[in-house]
Amino acid sequence: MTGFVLRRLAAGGGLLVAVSFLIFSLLHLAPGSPLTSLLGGQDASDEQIAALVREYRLDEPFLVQYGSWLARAVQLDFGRSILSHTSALARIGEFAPVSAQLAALTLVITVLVGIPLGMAAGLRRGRAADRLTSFAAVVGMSSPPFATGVLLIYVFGVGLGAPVFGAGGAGLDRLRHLILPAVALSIVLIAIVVRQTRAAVLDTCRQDHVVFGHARGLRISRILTRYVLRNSALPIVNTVGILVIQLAAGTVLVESVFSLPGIGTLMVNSVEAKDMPVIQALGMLIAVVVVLTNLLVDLVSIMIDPRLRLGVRTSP
Amino acid sequence: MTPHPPLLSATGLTITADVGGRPRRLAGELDFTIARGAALGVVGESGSGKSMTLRSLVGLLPSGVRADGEVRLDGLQLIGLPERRLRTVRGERISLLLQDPFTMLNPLQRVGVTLRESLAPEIRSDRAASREETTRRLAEVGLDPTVADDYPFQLSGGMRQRVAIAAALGRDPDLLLADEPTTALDPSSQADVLNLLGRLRESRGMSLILVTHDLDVAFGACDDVVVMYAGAVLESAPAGTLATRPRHPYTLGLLRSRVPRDRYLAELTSIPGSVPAADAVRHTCPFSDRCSWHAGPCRETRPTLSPVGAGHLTACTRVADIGAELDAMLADRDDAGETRAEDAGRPDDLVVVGELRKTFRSRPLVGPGRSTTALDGVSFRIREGESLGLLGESGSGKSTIARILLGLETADSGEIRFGRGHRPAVQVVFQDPYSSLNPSLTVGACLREAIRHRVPHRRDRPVPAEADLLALVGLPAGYASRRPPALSGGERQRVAIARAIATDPDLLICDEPVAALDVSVQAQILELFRDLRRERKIAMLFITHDLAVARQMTERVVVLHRGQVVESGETAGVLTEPEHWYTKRLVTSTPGGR
Amino acid sequence: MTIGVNPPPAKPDTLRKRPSPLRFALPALLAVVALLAVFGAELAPQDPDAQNPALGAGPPGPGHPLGTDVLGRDVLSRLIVGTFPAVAGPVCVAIGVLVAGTLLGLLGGYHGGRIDAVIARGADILYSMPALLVAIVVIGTVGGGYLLTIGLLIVLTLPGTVRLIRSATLSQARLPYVDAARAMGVRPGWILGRHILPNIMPTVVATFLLEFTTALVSFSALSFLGLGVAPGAADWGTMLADGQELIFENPMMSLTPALLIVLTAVGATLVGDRLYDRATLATEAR
Repeated sequence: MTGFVLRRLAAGGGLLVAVSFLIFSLLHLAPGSPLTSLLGGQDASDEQIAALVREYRLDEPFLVQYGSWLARAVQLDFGRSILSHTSALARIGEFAPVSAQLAALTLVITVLVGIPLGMAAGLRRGRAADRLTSFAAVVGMSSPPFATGVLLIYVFGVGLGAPVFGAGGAGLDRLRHLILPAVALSIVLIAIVVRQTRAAVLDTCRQDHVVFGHARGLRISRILTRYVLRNSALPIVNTVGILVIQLAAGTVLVESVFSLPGIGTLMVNSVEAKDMPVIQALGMLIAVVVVLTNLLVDLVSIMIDPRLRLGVRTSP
Repeated sequence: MTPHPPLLSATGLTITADVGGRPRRLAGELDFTIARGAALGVVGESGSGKSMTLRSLVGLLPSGVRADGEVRLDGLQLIGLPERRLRTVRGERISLLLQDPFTMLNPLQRVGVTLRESLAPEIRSDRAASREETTRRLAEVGLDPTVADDYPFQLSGGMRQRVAIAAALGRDPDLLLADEPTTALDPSSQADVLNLLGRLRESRGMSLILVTHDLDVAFGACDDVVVMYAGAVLESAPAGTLATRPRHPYTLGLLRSRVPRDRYLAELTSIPGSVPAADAVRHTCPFSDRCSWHAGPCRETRPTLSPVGAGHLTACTRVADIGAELDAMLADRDDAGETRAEDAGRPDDLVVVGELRKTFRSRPLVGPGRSTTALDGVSFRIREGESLGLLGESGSGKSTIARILLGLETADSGEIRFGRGHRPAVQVVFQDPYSSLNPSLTVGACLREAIRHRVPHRRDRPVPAEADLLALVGLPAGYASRRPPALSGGERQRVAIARAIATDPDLLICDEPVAALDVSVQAQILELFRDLRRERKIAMLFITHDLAVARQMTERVVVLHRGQVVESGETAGVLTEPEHWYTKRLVTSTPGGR
Repeated sequence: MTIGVNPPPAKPDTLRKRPSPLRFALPALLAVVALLAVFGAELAPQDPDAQNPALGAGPPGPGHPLGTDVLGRDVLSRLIVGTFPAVAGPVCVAIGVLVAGTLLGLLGGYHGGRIDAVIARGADILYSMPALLVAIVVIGTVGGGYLLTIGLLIVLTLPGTVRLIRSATLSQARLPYVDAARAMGVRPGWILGRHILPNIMPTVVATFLLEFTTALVSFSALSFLGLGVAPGAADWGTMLADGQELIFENPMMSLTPALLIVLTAVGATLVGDRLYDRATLATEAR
């Protein structure tokens, strides 16, 4: 078990190094010299320029620059933001809470709506309720959060006069402001979860062991939980990885639509201003989240399925 | 006749599937009864509707499939009973055992949990009592108490089937329905599981309905046997009567199609043609198309069952005229049998296999990688023109040898020498006729491809024509434009044989070529192999787990066990006087001991 | 309560589905979108770039069925002309992904060994990256351009297709008919093209429309954020972004492109599903 975790961590670490290399290369791929990128088009004194050259070792070969950047990145030092002149990490810290709250709210809505809906559709295969749900899932999958967001703004903002822009204050007001963005964001995710859950449940229901459970007169509640849900859990858990990726991309769009001061807005603003230190820090942050999520998914899968834990004997 | 009313009786039971909004009959107008404590065998080939019939008795038909008619369990009508009521019947009164022990148990649940949840609620609620009961139930099916802590995937097929039996009997039902409970198992565990079912039935006074495609299994385990064909019951009788005095041409055909193990038959008998769809023969005798005695009335109405003896019913309307003939034909076959008259091959070696080793490695997500030794120093030789049997159960390594000889896999070590100095052309016929042909290629295209890939050293011979190849395997030339999904299993296997022959091979590997076919068709294909050998002098490597097939098709056998050759020699000698304990077990374990 | 009691028969869903009005409506919608993309300039009722500053942003009215934008340009005409950039890019991406993904998937799935390990691992790594975010960062920092966007999206959406085609190929390559062909000495290229490809065609077709849908959404998302298409050009995503700020003045300006994006994506997905089912049925029942 520990061997497995260590192996996965090592693989994740390798992936992070590869990603960090690509992220660092952005600085050199961007039009103009790295120095102008780092200055962000602002005038600077010779001293400031010299300090930047020293900090980023711009006078040394590419790989040395990368090495020193990586060494500082490991210590969570990504440099100063060009826009705010504070450290890149501090700037992310300013914008992170709104996004974290939005993501949490969205995941709660997605799981609470998506899994039960997908199960219900799978168990009622072919009936009207299933067809309606499946069709709605296709529509949901095809509705990017910005399109849904605009529609919600029109209905609730223009039609009902509800608060639709900004993050609002703290507590309940924040929740009121985040609920529409979370709904806009969760529609795609719910659609994904519904489709995966439905397929998993359909697949499980066709299995002999479910029929054999019925044949022994087991209670329907036991068959649903211990047989159908548990055996469907593996593919469902595996979609969580996809969810996190979708969530990251969707956040950018939704925050832009609803003018929320979150990570997504920060990213768009930083990209527009070519604020390289912040972009690089954000890139690494997202990569770390993706790696950790995948590790978590693997661990949960192993906990669910003893065959993964104990190794399958192939010959009967 | 019976002093007590039957435990379960079916009258006019009809199973219908809804296909694209149109009803299609799977089985119709079935009548049968089973007495308390009795065992009823239901025998039929694929498409007979036997499995659906069994499932309809507990209301577990697939969606879109409906049952009508009357099924009474101690007077309680089961057909149309609401799901809520059926739940109280399932497990408690009737339980159902499925075919495949590898998929029947919840893979994420320990055996102990599966057993405990199957027990009656009053025992289940008491922790200590239920643990004790679980141990007792495991012992009843001959398993160790520690098995309770295992997951199904840690057990062998035979052990899983025992666990499933214990679970099915958790609430001590009056009737156990078993759907081909031994078909997926190796021959040696087949006999064990059948014996176990028989023992449990006696000790519990339970009734058993056993569905099987194998007449011998039914004869060995059941008091009465019902023969189903294309959705209809054709004959039903006490097992002994059915075996010795069949009163339906189909039953006779089935009995005669059995491939014997104790002697060589110069000619294997089979029923010509293949099984029709139940829906297509609703209004005729379903067997009339394949019956050599059929007369006008057979095609006009669906015959009903009528008594011909004590507990003996037949659906053959001509039984009065042909009864004597049926008896004569059965006796005729029993007299047949002779020592082999075939050319036993020339002494020159075609292929010599020496000390072949092969290990497969797998790496699970967690824990150390493990390796399985498929071949552990296997040596044998195939002579020019001979037929060698490779006998073994699953996991013995027999298919790995085939793959290595075909060049699909390489051995870790060992050598393969060729008597002629160059690599002989090797072709193959696989077990599953459904996946061994490309479904999107027409039969003609498939054969043309094979013809293009004829063996280089045989290029001087004339190019075979598609139609000739089809004729060689007994198929009309028109089949060249068909695609495999439109063919029956037997027909597909003929195409696969034609494809193998088209390349003009020196050695034909037959990897369980009849194991997936219906009993009445198996002998057709075996006869085809014999014809090909006679005409073309091809050497054959016959891979099989079936001793009867080995007896009929090979001159010598090599017995494999866990990747090692444990015995080899003349087929007749090895099968009549086995020396190694493993061969002895194989020989004694086949049900019915035919 | 009989739900879930019965194992469904192993046939595609469509067997028992009644024909629905969507059966014709969605292909028709896709055809209309294709027409608009090709003949947009001819079909637009007005010059999409003709400005009328005096008019400004306004709700639907005579002469402007969908109103005007902030520069007084006709929204309907811009919507029609904007079809081409919104759809052409995704079509290119889908074709590129289809060709590259099928080749890589077939190669990896059939060949196995080291080549497959490289393809599979590479696809896994790319698959775990948030494609849209990578596109935003790369296009935003390195600079945009329609062609670069197409290229980037091909690379970023490739792994999904490679994985699907590879696993479909793997499941075919395990079947005895492939072994029989190999034992006969049939060349690998022939086995892949003549034996395996026809049998995984349903997956290939379904994947194509799936990738088109994904690319459509990604493209409009990028232009919504002001990346991808040149600023000022008419495009569904750009119009949606511009219109969103004017939602109180002319809601049609943002709602109509949003609706068109969603409908086109739904249409493509459902047509893909149906083709998949039909192709599966055809392979099974031939």
